[in-house]
Amino acid sequence: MSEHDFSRRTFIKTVGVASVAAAALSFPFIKASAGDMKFHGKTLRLLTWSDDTGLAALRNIAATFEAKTGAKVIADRTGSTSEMVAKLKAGGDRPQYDIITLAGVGAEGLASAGLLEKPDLNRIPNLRDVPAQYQTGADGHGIGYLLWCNSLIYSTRTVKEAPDSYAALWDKDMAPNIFLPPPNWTEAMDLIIIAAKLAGGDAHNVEPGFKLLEKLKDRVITLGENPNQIAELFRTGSLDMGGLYAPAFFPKQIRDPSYGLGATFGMKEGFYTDLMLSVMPKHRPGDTDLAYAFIDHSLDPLVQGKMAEDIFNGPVNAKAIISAEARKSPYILTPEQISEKAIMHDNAFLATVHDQWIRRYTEIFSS
Amino acid sequence: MALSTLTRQVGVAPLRPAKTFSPTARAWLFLSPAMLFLGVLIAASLLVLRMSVGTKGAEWSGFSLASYAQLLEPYYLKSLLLTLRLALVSALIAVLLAIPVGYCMSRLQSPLLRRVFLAAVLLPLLVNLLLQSYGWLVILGPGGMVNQALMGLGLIDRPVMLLYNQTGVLMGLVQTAFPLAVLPIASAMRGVSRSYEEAAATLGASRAQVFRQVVLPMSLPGIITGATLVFAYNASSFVVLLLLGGRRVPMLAVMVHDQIAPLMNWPAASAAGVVLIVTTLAIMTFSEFVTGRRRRILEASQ
Amino acid sequence: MSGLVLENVEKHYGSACAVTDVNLHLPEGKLVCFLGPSGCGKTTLLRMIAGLETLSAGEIRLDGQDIGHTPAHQRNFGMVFQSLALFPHMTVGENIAYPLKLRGVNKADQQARVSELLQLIQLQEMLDRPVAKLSGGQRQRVAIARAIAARPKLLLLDEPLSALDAKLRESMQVEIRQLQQRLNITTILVTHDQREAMTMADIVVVLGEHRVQQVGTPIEIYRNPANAFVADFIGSGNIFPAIALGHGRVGLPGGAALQVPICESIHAGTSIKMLVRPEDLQLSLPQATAGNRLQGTVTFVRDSGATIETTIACSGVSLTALSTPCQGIGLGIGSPVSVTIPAEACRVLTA
Repeated sequence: MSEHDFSRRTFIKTVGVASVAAAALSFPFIKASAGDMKFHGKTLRLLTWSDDTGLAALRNIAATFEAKTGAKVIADRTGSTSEMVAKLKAGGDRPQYDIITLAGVGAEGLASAGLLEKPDLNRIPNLRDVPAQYQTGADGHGIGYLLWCNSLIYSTRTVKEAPDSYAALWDKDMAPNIFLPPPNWTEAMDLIIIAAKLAGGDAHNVEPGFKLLEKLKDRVITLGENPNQIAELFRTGSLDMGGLYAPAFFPKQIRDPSYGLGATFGMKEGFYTDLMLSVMPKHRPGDTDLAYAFIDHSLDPLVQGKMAEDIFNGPVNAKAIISAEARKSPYILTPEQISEKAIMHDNAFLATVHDQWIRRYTEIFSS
Repeated sequence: MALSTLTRQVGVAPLRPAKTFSPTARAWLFLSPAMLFLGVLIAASLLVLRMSVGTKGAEWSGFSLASYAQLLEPYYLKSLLLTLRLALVSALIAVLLAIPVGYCMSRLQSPLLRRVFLAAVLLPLLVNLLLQSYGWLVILGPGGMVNQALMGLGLIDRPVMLLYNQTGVLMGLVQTAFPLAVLPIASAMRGVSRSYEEAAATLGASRAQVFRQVVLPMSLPGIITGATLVFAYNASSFVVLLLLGGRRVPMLAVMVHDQIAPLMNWPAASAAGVVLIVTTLAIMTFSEFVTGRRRRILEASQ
Repeated sequence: MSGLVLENVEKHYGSACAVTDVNLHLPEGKLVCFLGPSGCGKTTLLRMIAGLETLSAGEIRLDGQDIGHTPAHQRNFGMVFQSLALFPHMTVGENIAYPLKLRGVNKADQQARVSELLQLIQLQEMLDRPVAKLSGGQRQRVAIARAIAARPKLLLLDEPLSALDAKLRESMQVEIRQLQQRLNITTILVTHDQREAMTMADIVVVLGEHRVQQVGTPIEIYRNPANAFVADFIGSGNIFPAIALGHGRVGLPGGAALQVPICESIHAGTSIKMLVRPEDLQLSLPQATAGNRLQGTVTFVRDSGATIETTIACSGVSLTALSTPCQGIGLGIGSPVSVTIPAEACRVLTA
């Protein structure tokens, strides 16, 4: 998963869930029943992202959780995973949050600093429908709650048919102007592996991949640090294709035809995913049962389906309910597609080569 | 004597209870908020210095110069040189552009016009950098106005890349730091009274000669200050690189950022930061050394 | 006509008039003083001559050539500013050499001229000093040396001494005057200090209310002021209203009459103004009224040691007399006194 530093740094700080309560009314798919109101009056403190994914989590997870249980969710939203790590580290043994949703890298950092509690999987019933590889991350300290899925982005105006292979990036006629992910993002690491495989190598023999990437240099307009800028470049006809990049970065622009923005997961090589985790800090301020209930709620098949439809992220729950309408969309991933095509990268391995690969990638594309 | 009686009576007016603070102590007391603030800033820098000789995962307890040794690799040296070069070139361009603007501002008579000018110069500071970068995109982007005009005129058939490379970064650096160059220059030029220009004119100097031989040398301290500010500001520039460099211009600030996220290598990031600070300080000291004598002479006479 | 000629020169800023209707001829080699109160337009006039202000109307000619629209840097005039405007980034020598450098004089000649000038102003050893290290008087001299370095056709001095203390100012006045005479350079000095003008000028141009009031030698201006403005501005004078009675006599408000050198064109019954300089009044112990001797009462005495100023109420006017201590007759406030006003000391002023 990327650090998506820039996109998530929209500088909207603490926003109460109340602000999206109105939106929640239009999603009355979770029926509140009197019996579930056992957490009435209790408060859960949540730290999530400030971008569209974070907003969607407030709409689809937090608001419905409040409706179902009567608990109050106070959400704090911040720009990037590294900021979340910094916030929690600054809190020391008196953390301000009960639940944090963040990328695997951050969870690993917090876990190795000894700041996280290992959740008891038995207290999360919905986990039984989650395939094993998505259940936990960060050495069991995090519970998977959605998959950050990277696609190939293309211009629906200049690229007539959705590309079915990453090799399309090297097709000068199909896509004269392309963009790639910035070197510090995990997407760049995945791209290096893809290039290596296309050139006959693999993750442990990436040199051919770097050679292949060098051929792209002259056609690379930008290494897209800022999703809004990327969308703008597509809108103005300056880009034809690019990736790896998650459509979750710009769900609004993808829905807006004036951008001519398309995204596809249909590559025959599969698509790369990064598991987003919910973690529980040690010495949380709030109720433990409530925290478990919240994590369980985030894995509810209905909630998972809504999240996937809303912001084009992959559901981890294999029984996630995706509407028939949504199934027609090329951007909305179904549990079936995920089980067939999703590739999870090896975080532990990447950590050992990350530094070197960033350098090579930076050098190759330096203007 | 009647007079002394008078003065004594005034003196007899009840004194406030004698304070035990000496004037020196009071002066220090007065300075203490500033000192406290500076102290925090310096402490933060010292913490960075400490981390730079730590090791990854043991930033506070370990000791190693490996982070500095790593900076000697061509990858980082090239980045440092690129950083200094872009900062220097942007400072030169910004100052060259700021000199006529600053002169104009310093010679405007109407207070209204002066305020309008000032607002125009300060605009880059007031408008969010993200918005500014969209402005650049609209003008210079591959599908922007300049490229469309050039293509419309048949001068080019493919868009010229004006952004997402060093040219784009340079333009962004000049634009964002422009007020830092204009303000000290305009203020220095306002200090050059008109009578110097008139004196030179009556002695036989044409307008160009007056400007070159009197106004410029006399406002040199302001010009150097402007250049130094732009240089220091741009040497550590980060956002411009992301927005207009397309992540393809690896200045040192980006390296520092990469070390922190995603690599979480605080010692390496700190070492790069320390090197950037030290190099910038060294260059600023050098420029002060070179121009200090003249600056002191000018200041003594004004 | 040689020298500097100003014809119908006029300057206004928008609707505000700075100076108007100036017609002057400044002969070669003379020191001409523009004298007037602040705001009278004297500096504006000087700046127009220097080329630092444009003319709103009129002509300026130098030796018959129209220079009214020549840019300042092509006029070859030397000017010393009130602030002196010595260049702080240059040494004394560089300041003086600057006009020579601008004219493309070669290095050797520059040096020769600079040392010649430094000798003239007696600052030989200051050649390489920065100007910030000089005293006020030294700066003054350097500014003059710089202004005359390129042998200008005209030297313009804009209140150059106003920043100096009184004693230094007086010695500089003499110094500048001597220098001017030695170099025989046509010079215009702007000042509001009439003593300075009297000390230095060959010709004084009194400016007031945006126009030229009188042109003449210092003594002419003092002795025969053209009008009440000049009389009032130059020196101290007793100016009082009177009525022409005919046959060379005027009547004072209190009824007394004086014999004065009044010109015949002024008809009897006309209201006029009289000027009598204080030093021309003669005081004596009360005597019978006769001729121009009037009776009065002392209302104030100011004894400054060197001179005694006695103010007397006399026939409806207040007169001030100036006498030396040895002429003193021991008057106090309230003393009756006789005042003699010599007929030849009286001046009739037109409004």
